[in-house]
Amino acid sequence: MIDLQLKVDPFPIVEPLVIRLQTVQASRFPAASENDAMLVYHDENIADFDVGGFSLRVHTTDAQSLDGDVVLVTPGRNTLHRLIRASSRHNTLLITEQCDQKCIMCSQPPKKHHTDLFDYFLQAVLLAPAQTTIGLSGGEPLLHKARLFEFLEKAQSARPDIRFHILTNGQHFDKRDRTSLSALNMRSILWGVPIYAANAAAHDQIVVKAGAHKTLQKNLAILGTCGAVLELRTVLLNSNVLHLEDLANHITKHQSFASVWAIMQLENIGYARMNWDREFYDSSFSFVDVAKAIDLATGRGMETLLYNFPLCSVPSEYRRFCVASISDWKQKYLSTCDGCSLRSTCTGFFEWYSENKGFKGIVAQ
Amino acid sequence: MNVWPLQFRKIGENDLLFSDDSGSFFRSDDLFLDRYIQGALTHEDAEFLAYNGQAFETDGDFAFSGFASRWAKRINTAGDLSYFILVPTLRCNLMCDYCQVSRAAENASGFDWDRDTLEQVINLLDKQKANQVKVEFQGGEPLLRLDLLDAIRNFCRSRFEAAEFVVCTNLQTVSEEAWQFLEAPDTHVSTSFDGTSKFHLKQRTKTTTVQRQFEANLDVALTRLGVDRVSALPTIDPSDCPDPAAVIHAFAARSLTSIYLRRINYQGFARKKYGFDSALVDWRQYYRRFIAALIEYNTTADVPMEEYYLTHILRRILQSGHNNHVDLRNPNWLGKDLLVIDFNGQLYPTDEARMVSRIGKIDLSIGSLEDGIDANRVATLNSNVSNFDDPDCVHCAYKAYCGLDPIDDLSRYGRVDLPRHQTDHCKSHLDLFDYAFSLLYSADPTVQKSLAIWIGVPNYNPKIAPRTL
Amino acid sequence: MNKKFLIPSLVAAGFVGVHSSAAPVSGPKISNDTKTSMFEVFRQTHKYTLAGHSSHASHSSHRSSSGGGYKAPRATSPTPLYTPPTNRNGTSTPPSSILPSPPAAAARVLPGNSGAFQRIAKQVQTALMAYGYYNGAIDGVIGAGSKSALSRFQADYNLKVTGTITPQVLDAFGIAAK
Repeated sequence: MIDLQLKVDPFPIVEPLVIRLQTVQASRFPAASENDAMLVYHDENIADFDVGGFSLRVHTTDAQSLDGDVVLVTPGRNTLHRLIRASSRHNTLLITEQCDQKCIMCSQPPKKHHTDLFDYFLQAVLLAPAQTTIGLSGGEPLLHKARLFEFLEKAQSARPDIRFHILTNGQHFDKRDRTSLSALNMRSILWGVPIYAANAAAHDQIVVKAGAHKTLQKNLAILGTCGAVLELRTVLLNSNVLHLEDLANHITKHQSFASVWAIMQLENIGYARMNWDREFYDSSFSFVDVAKAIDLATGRGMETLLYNFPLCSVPSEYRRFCVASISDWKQKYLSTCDGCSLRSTCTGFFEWYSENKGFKGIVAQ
Repeated sequence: MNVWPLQFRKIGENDLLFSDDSGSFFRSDDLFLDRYIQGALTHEDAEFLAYNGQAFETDGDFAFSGFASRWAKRINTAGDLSYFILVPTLRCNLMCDYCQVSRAAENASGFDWDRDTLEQVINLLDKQKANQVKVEFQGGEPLLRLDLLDAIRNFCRSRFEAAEFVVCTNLQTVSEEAWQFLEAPDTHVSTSFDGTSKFHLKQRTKTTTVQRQFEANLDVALTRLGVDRVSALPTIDPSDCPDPAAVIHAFAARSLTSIYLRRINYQGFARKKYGFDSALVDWRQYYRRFIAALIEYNTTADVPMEEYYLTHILRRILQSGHNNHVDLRNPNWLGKDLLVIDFNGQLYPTDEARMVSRIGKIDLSIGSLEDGIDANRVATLNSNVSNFDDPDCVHCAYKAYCGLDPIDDLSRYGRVDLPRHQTDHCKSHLDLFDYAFSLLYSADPTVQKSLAIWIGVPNYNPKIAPRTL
Repeated sequence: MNKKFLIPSLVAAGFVGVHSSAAPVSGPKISNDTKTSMFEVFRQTHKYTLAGHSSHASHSSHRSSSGGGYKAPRATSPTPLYTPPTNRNGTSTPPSSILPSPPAAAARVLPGNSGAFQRIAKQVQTALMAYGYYNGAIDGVIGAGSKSALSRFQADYNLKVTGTITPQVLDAFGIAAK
């Protein structure tokens, strides 16, 4: 696992601080900014970065790997957060931990409290490497949509090269948001919205919210007619595997403006870990229902992808739909994978994947 | 519930195909038609139509916007000019029976671009808004003027973010220099190969020496460029056509996976030599025989094969937004995103328009390099390019998938305003769509296997072609 | 072309001519309350490709924030167990061209912190002066003079030489960081 937090020595700040770490002397940032902190000392265990004459001492064995990272240092806490890792394309900002749904496979169960970090996120985005895609996730980011839209507008006007990938449950749009949405450059925002079934009752049961499906249909139409680039996301579950083919039909008919449909394997953390035995669908054992859905959606021209499916769990003729989707910092391979010829293109497994409760058909190829 | 207007057409013995303007379709029967006409749809009918995206509750609801998006994607918007067919020379080193454009002798003069023309072509390319371009070199035999091809390609590579080149050559005489030119990864070769050696010899090369030369060059092209960058198109004479299985095996033997069957287009020399209208029935029969052979071939082939146009038709039916550069676009805008520049600097909206003009039927040029594009002529040509309001098309069940071809109508009948059902374009496409739908509703697993290949999915899901009950 | 044509004009071929043309695309009427018509919106969407589309790089990231989030700053939590970065993702530094200089509009970094920083910096400058390493202004700004003084002090007292105010420097001077 790659650490997204690193230990730091006590640092005399009273408010959170966003800085960009630099390890290379020849400055690549000509307009020396107060946001930039240069590496002034390092040994095998620590690295000191010069923040306005003060040493920010980071405990790391590899100072160079932090070059260009944008980090958040918080008063009174002995860790910094690597908000944007310059060497990764998996950077996600957690907007809030609040949510109005309680999806049975949620990997990040909601919490009551919310702290508004938008101002720091904005600073971080301004410091990000060019052309970065930054994820905005939660919880449900749209619960704070006024602040979110304000953040997006400012970020886009200062850094038009940055792309955003916003994960939202799609429950919180209304017609009045058209104005806010049309003020944004919708072409550089990808909206990832989950839909679990065409059948309203089945969907509502999975997200544990009555009426969610109906609202979702209405709001997907709003997003679509505002020119949103849409990624529909469906986590494969025992609860919806038999609904998948109908969902393929539904999407190709009613959300035909979507750019891509992602069918996703379960990530065993959060509620999903709790509900694993009931909901994990072993697609290495039977792929028929997933296959029918792919055949229908792709045949009708909807780009369909499989996220989080290890290649050996998928019949060879469907492997071309697989994407190495698991973020670098929480990805692992199993001992079975040693010597597998497909390893370099395989998504692998979640760090917290448990072999004895997982796929039965994991075989080196 | 509101049902989007349905068109229908008889398919099979007892059934009807229903379709709407977004291209959603289903198969049902006379009883459904009666209920639809009488406004007596049952609850089950309504549920089915909603499931199939052919109905909505209220203006602007999700079913409405889903339909609107599918409909909108089918409309061909006139994009920026980004596809050029260039004819640097009309001279050719072959004399095929049915040459499409009265070609000029290999040693003739006055049939090539001169320096000024080249400069004007480059100026025109330079003025384009698009940041990518596709250039197709036609002829004559374009390899006779490798210098011009090279100049154009070099310019495009530096001027555009992305540029792609196709050389339409007979591969008869290819110098080492020409091979090196063709080997570039951004360059493709398109050639004619009339299905089998026997027919190619008969229709094009005439002598076995020339025929051997061609086949050797085709093999070199496939080896040096790779199969992905070579396409070979057979021209078929319906009155004397090669055995489908022989054609398929001739292509397969060369690892070619796509066959674009072209019926002889009666123009140029061909018009003088062959009859005109009699061949459509022969052609239909041959085409069906050919597809049947292809389906049989695909049941056991390691590397399956497609007929290019049928694949296009199937995808037009199933997928909103499946447009290619030329065929079945609606509206079929002329002189917008595609431009032909002839050897003499005349501009045409399509290659067919160049031919129709060349044989003296009607002047379809839309300007010249000297005078630029004549906007009025382009506008006039574009007055008949959409089937939305064509009185013969509005009730056609295939309207959403089809598109007009005024240039073909002109070349055959000298008019663009014939009743559609009297035109070859309409007759042959009605037949093609009938055939395509018969395949889509076929329960034959061998048909379904081929369909999956052509549609681009691992397995055919019959639900892609819905039916009531 | 001074050529004779069988059909003398487009009108003779049945083209209705430019005036009755420009047949507007007809179809479902779509209400829209923005400047862009829904038709255009759907066409745009259709043409959109994402950055790095060749490898689906942009939609390849499975975003869920499990474990990837950060605690709200005011929440307290035990110091996480320290593990060295695995660096499996490579530590290669990105080419300089992808690291932009911060735009002029970039927010100042220390808005809420400058007071605390200055107060401590002044204490350090004063101490350095008292120890005989520094004779510049006590202004709370750690510039070249202060840095040089810090380096010499650190070297003489066997501290890690960083030229910055480190926890050890503060300890040595008995300055509280808060």
